[in-house]
Amino acid sequence: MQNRVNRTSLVVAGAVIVALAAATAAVGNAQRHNRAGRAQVVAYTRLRRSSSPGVSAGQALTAVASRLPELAAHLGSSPIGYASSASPWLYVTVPVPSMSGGADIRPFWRADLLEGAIAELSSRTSDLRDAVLGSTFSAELPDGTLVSDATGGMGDVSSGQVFASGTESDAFIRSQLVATLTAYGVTPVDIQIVHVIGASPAVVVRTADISATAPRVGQLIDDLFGTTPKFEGYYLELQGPNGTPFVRVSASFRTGAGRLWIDPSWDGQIGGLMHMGR
Amino acid sequence: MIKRLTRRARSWRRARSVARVAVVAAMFALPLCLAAGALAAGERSSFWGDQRFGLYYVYQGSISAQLNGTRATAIVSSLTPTSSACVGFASAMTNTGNGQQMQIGGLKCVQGNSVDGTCGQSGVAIVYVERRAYNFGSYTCYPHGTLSLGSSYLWTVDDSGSGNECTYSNGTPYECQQWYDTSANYAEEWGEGQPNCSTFGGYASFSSWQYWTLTWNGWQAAGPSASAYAGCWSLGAISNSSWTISH
Repeated sequence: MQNRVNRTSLVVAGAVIVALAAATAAVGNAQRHNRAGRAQVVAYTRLRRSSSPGVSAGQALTAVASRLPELAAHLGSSPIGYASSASPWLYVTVPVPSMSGGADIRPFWRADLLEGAIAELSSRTSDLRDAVLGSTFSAELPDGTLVSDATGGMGDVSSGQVFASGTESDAFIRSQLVATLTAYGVTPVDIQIVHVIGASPAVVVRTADISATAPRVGQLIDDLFGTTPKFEGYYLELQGPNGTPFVRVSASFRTGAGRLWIDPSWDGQIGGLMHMGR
Repeated sequence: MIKRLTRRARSWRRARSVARVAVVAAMFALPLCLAAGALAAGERSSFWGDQRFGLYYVYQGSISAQLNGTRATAIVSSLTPTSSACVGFASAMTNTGNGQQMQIGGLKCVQGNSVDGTCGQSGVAIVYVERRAYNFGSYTCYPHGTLSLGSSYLWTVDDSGSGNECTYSNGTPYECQQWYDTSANYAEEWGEGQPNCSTFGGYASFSSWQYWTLTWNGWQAAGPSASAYAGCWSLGAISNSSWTISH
């Protein structure tokens, strides 16, 4: 009798331990994957409109995809490693001339703008990452090689940001940019204005003296694009006297994606602009 | 008899002083040997001599297993970039062979300065993820909300078997990156200031540092395998997987 009680106690104790272990594992897994700890979103503009019920992400993609026709984009569920979510994941294949020397930044920046526009147009909350959970950008190189999952992501960025350039014409924006570049003594090589929702300039400039320009890059960016950003995003390429780039940088203020490449011989000498880590 | 005892005492004293010299020599030699070993294991010398970094690290050659992740709880008490600068603390996985990097942490820049063009740009302390593409490619940064000074953040970078290094802040998943090779992997917990030692200040405490290995499918205390590089930071000794770092 005593033995049977002991055996029963052991079985019950064992079951409790197994149940507790399972519960602990489940909680651990949930903590690992749930978005319980909400991030306080980052806003780049002071002026924001309140978020209104948007269209679906699919409708948003359809609405803006034609503005960036080189991108092959579709929405799907999040990849392995992420919790299943009601929010869609954006997959984009991007034609990229090269993955070295920062030549990938401008093409991927255009994908950032697409992602930000889809998130903004379909947002229902203050955090655009609720509208598009993340993204996977793959690069298609000129020889047909596909570099899968080359980059991608989505910041916790405020919806409804209002950028000051919203009503300005391309001609006005271009003239303002040229005036600023002239004041800095650098030569405009190419200026294009990309429109996805609003305007985003892509500016290529050349300097005769890299060592004079390098410390002033942060100030140049502020003066071109605003300390409080005037545009949804920008791309800036700085070339040396022979036309070789020494800085490529882009910003997408609806995804928070910032991209940077600095010629290694100038790394650490570019004023106001840095990367972390090795 | 007395002479013999005096001789014995002298030789004992001599032996003790020789032993003391040997211990002191070993104390200096050990870190040099560790550093030399790290370099021999294929480490690029990017941190050595770069005063802006202060860190503890484990590299794949220092453990008898694959090195697939790192995590630690960080409490950042202050971030004080002073002039054209950014300062931050992070958990990071780096492959020094191909340049891939995945890091999650907290940073702050002086307004108008930024990491990669968007992170820290508004002068507010934020949680961020920065990834660096394969083959020493471009850097990309994503902001993940404001950083609360004095609060605990468990910053994790790990590959749980999918071949992707993924980032988490207090369990919330953020960016992942496909990881091409583990042979030159480094698990690192660091403080970093830019652009030089006179332009930033900061203080953080790290605790419960562990590295993740797929070989044993588990987390291991990282302290026993760790090496240190202080740069211009004051890096406290590791005690029970915890330490402080300040500048």
